[in-house]
Amino acid sequence: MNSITLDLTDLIQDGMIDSISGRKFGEGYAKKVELLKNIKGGNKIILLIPPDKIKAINDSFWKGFFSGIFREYKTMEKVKSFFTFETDDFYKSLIDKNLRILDSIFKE
Amino acid sequence: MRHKVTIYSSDNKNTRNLKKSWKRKLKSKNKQKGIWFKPKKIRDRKIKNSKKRQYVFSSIIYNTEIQHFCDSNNIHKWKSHDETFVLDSDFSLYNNPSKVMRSLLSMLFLAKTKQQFATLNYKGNVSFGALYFIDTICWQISKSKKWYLKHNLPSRESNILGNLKSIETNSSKTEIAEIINSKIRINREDDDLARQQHKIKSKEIRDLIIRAIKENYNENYELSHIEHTAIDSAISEHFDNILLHVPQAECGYLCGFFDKERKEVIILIYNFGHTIADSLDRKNLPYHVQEVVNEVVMNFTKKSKIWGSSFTKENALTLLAIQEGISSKLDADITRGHGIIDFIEHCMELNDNSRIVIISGKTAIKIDSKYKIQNGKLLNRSDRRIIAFNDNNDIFEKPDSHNVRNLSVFFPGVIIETTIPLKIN
Repeated sequence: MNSITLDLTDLIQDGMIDSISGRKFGEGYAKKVELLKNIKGGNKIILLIPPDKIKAINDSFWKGFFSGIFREYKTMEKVKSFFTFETDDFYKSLIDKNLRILDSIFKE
Repeated sequence: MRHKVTIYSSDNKNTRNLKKSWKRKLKSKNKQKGIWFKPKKIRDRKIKNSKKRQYVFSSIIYNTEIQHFCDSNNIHKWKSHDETFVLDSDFSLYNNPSKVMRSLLSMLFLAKTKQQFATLNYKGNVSFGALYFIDTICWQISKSKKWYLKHNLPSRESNILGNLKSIETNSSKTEIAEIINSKIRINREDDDLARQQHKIKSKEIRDLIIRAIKENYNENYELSHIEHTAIDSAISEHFDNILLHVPQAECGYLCGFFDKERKEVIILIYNFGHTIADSLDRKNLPYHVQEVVNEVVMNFTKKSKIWGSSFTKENALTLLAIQEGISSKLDADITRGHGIIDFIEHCMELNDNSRIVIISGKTAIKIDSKYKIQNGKLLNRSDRRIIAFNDNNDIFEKPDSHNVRNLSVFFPGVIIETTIPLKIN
C-alpha cells in the first residue's frame, strides 16, 4: 500500500490566509487531489495539518472534503481507515466530530 | 400647472409603482376637491407639505437594496418618524433589533424629506454593532447630500463612530477598541478553489485581537485553537452561506470589533437578498425537507390561536432553518445544512456567555446561555443537534419569546451579530 501525503498548508497563504474554510472549497480540494481515485487505488492518505501554521479549519470544509468518500464507503470506520491524521488533538477531535455527523447522515 | 412626476431609470419596481400610484391619487384628489381652482399658494403649500411626496420625489436616490428595505417597510406610510434616537442599553441589535432598524429607517426617511440631521442622544450605552449597521447604510445618504449625525457621545465613543469610516475598507484603533470593516466581494468563479476575500479578513481580525491583547494585557498572549476556530467560524460559515444560498448577492458586509475594556470580540455580518424563511417557504424543496416544513407549518396553523400573534409562520420557519441538517439544497448534497449550528456550537463551547443574534425578515433569534444545543429527533434521525428555545427543546412547541422574536420591521436579507467574551488572564 502506497501512502500519499496531503499537506494542507498548500491551502493557506503565508502572511495573508491562515484558515481553511468552505464546503465548495473542501469538495474542490478533494477533487483536485483525486482523493477518491487514490483511495480506490489502494493508497493510504496522510493528512498533514501543522497547527502552528493553520489556525482554523471550519466544519463545512470537512463536510465538503469527506462527502464524496462517504458516498462511496458510507461509514466513519471505513472512511477513517484510509487516513492518518498528522496533527494535534484539537484538529483530530474536530475531524472526528465531522466524521461522526457524516456517518449518521449516510447510515440513514 | 401640473406637477412633474419623473420616473428615473434607476428607480426600482416599488418606487415606480409608488410614483405611478401617487400620480393617480393626486389626479383623483384634485378632481374631487377641485384643488386646481384654489389659489396657487394654497395649492402649492398642500402639496409641498406632504411628506410622502417629498419622500417619493426626493433627489436623494438609494441603491436598489436599501430602497427595497425602505419600501418593504412602507416608511412613507408611517404616522411619524423620530428625529432623535436614544442610545441606551436597549438600543442594540441583540436587545432590540426592531428599535435599531426603525431608527435607521427613520433616518433614511428624514434624509429624503427634511434638511435637519438626525440626533443621537447618548444615555449611557453605545452598541457598536448597531452603530456600524446604521453607519454603513447611511453612507448612501451622504452620496447625494451633506449629511451627518448630531450626537452628544462621550469622546471615547465619539472616536469609535468617527473611526468607523464604513464606506471604505479600513482598520482603525481607538483608546477602547480595534475595528476592521470591509465590504466583502463574493467570488463566484467556477473554480472550486477560488480565493474568498473573507479569509484574508478573518486573519486580519484575529491578528488585531492578538495585538490588542498583547499591548493591553499580556505580551505573550496568543489566541487558543478553539478561539481561532470560533472567530473564524463566525465569519466563514456565513460567507459560505452567502456563496451557496444567496446567488444574487455580490457582496456581504463584515465588521470586526474588539472591545479592549470588556475584552469582547464582536463580529457583525450582513447581506441583502432573500430571508432565511424564504429559502424554506417555496416550491421544489427536497422531499424530506418539504415534509418537515409541512409538519412545522401545520403545527403552527393548529396552535397559532393559542400561541398568539407574537409568533408567526415566518418565525417558525426561520427557527427550523437553523437546526442541523435543514437545507433547501439537500437534493444537491445531503450533507448540507450544518453551518449555522456548527458556528453556534463553537461560540458557546468557547464561552457560555457568548451572545448571537440572527435577524432575517421579521424574525430575530437570540442565542445565549439559557437554552443549549441538545440532540433530538428531526428528519427521521434522533441525534440531530437542535436548539428550540423551550424547556423540552422541541421545535413543535412555542419558543421562549425572549429568544425568538417577531419584529415590527422587516429586513430583506440576513444580519448576524456575534459577541464572544474572551477569557484573558
